[in-house]
Amino acid sequence: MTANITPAALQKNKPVKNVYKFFQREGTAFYGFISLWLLGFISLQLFPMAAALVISFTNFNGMSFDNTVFIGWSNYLEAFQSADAYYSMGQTLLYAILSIPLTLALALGLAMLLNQKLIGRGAYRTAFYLPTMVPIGATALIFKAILDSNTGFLNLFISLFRPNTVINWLTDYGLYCLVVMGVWSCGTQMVVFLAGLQGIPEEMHEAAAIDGASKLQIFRHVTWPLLTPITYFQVMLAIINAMQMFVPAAVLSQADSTSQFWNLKHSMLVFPAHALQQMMSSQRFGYGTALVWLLFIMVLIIALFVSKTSKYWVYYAVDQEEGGAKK
Amino acid sequence: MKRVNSFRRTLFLTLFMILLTLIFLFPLFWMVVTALKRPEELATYPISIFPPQAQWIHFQQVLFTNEVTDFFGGLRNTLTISLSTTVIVAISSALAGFGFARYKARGKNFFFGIVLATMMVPLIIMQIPQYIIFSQLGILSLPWPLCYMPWWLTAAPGWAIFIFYYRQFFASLPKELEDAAVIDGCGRLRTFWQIFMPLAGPAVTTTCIFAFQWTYSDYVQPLLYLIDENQVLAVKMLMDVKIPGVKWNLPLPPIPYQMTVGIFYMVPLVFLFFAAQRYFMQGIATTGLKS
Repeated sequence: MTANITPAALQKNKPVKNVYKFFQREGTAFYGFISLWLLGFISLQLFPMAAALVISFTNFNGMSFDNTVFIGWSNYLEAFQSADAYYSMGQTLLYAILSIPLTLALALGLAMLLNQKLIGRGAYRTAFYLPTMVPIGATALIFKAILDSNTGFLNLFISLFRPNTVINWLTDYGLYCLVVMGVWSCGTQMVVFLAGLQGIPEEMHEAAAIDGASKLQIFRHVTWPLLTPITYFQVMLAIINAMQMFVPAAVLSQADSTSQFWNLKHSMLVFPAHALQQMMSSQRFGYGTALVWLLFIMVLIIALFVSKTSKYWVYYAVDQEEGGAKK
Repeated sequence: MKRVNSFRRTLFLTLFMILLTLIFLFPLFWMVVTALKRPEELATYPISIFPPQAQWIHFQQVLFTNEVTDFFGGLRNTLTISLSTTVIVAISSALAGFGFARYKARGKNFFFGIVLATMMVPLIIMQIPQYIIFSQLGILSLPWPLCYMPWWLTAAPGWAIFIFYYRQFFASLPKELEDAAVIDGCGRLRTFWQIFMPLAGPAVTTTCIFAFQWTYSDYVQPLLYLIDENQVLAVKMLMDVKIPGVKWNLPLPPIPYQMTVGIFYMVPLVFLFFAAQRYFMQGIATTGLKS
């Protein structure tokens, strides 16, 4: 019945129920092109997430489902009473609160330095960006070599002024080491800010300067407002990244090549790492998964909060006549 | 007077920039000098920046013997994963991005919303269940190179950020391209592959270099999915480096050797960076891509 497809038959716009017509449709083409993604999304993202949601209500141990039973909300209730959970969430929040402003401020500062006439600008940009190219494993290795209590550069350097300094940076100030490590690779954010700065028309600065604005005023009232949309975008990304940071912590706290990946130093025990530890070392998959969901909810809440505050500080140049400078 | 001021300003600025550069590059410098020290020379009082005698032999030992670690085995595994994943992800993301950019269909906005939303979900929510699925399917105990299936399977649907990137690119191309292709009797897939992909050179390049960099640097997935001789350099560098001639119960950490492996590990990435710096900067500037 599909044999006699002729242009004439198609032109008559009859309700042709044939395969040929089906494949001609745009909708079919669309779903054809995204089919791989859709398949992958369902099987590798949606299904695992649903499974994780179900598992968080069980006592699954990660190995077999033999003795797995539903235990209701008890994983979640336990998390709210666990001192470790509070401690590690505190660590994660502290990391976010310290690293996000520091990283973004440094990135903006560097971008502004690079956005002026300068000899060898490309070379500086390369130097500031290069750390982001260093793989996380190598970064951790380097910072261990710098921060180690006995052999690290920092203690040996301080020992020049205060002999025999042995500060256990990684054990006692682990979280701050992580912040420094994160700030070191601020190159990505710097490039985004630089692109933003280069998108600001030079006339705006000139106009403000002619009106007698000082450099600080120009930054405060011209540059910064125009950068706020980019800053907002970067803050959101940074929150998502900082809240789920655990790989640097795990790699940096591996004392030597034999210790377990999941056994983090207490000072670096961030929330995702605590969740993974519960899954991998304590074989408490159900509980660990519940912790991860709590983290997800936490990220959502913070992101939502920041997006609500955005109307007070993010400047969108709606009125073109007013231009960039808003007093 | 003004001229003197501007000269001073330039001088001050240049010195300041050089200082900043030195601070930023210091960790990398320290990596190199540490690699050249003997393990027992690491803690010397007072501090010695440069090794008394540069141990270039570490570089030889890493490259030409297997006493330190199976370097070329690790490199082969790392490159196998990152190159294959890059090729797969560059094509599959383009397919989906093309669909989102060029066709009208019911439910399109909904699915595109999902693509964007998946960028926001913390990775570890999916990573562990994925790990369980892969291990239940028996993929994790397959022989080389099939043990890299987890990467291929997660790359085959395309990655959200790249789908988004391709969509933006393909949407910017004129509608006439398609019409011309259809008139010439070109099928949809052929239109995609022979008309649009060749035009998407910049987008493909950007996708490839970022996909390569991320898989090449990744540490967690290899640790979860791989064992022993299939392991990649990133993990070997931290877990599987020995001081030649020293047996169990290491008296000293093999830090100089780890650093040497680390330097060789980073060389391809640094080359890639200098070769494709423009694409890195453009890619980041337009989408804020971040690993």
